Amino acid sequence: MGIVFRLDRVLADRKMPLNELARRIGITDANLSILKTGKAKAIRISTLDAICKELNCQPGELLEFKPDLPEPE
Amino acid sequence: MPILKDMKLPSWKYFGDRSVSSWTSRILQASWYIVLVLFLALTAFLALGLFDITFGDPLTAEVAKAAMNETDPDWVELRKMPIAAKVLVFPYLAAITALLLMIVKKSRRMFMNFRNDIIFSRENAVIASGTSKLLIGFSVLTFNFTTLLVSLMLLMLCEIFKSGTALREEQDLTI
Repeated sequence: MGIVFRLDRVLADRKMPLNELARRIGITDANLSILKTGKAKAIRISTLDAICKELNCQPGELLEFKPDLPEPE
Repeated sequence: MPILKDMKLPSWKYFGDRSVSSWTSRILQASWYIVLVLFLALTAFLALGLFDITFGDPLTAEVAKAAMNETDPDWVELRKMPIAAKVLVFPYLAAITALLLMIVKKSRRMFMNFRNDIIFSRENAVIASGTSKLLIGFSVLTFNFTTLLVSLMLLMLCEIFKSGTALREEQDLTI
């Protein structure tokens, strides 16, 4: 799968720690970490909406397509 | 005519503590020992009854007497068989008992998982698959068509478990 979640980059730009974002959007640190590390199989529109609202960004800034990326385990 | 939602249906708790699964796992635990004890008792009775063995004590003498006086046609026929055929009864009985013990043990493990609210897991899929294969073996050995049907249904159920597990894993990784 070539989709990479660029949450770490956007968070670094906003100087916001991961646990702070998790607290603000109401999901656990563990789940947000799954998203950040690319282990997630899918993302809910509601989660994407909450992240974009909180980080004031577009979904395109969070997601990137890399054609030659190996499958996550 | 009462609407279905207004009807009082008995509400059974199937998973978790103090549920059908919990009680079934306990019953299966006891059954494992009961099957083992019955096998040992039956083996002893068959050994004494088929070969007219007595050790000079009242108990074995009584068993041999009861075996001799038994009028069941199958039993009478079995007693008349040659020794080689009689000996074959024991591995047959051991095979059936071993299969039954394995089935009970595996089923108990699955009901324990249900009791702990672990329903759609890889372990349950593997247990269901193993149990159904053992049940097929058991039904063939005992010439029981009903058990064969149940084991085939369990094999189908195993595929449902596999699909459920895949869905559960996907759900767990959907953020």
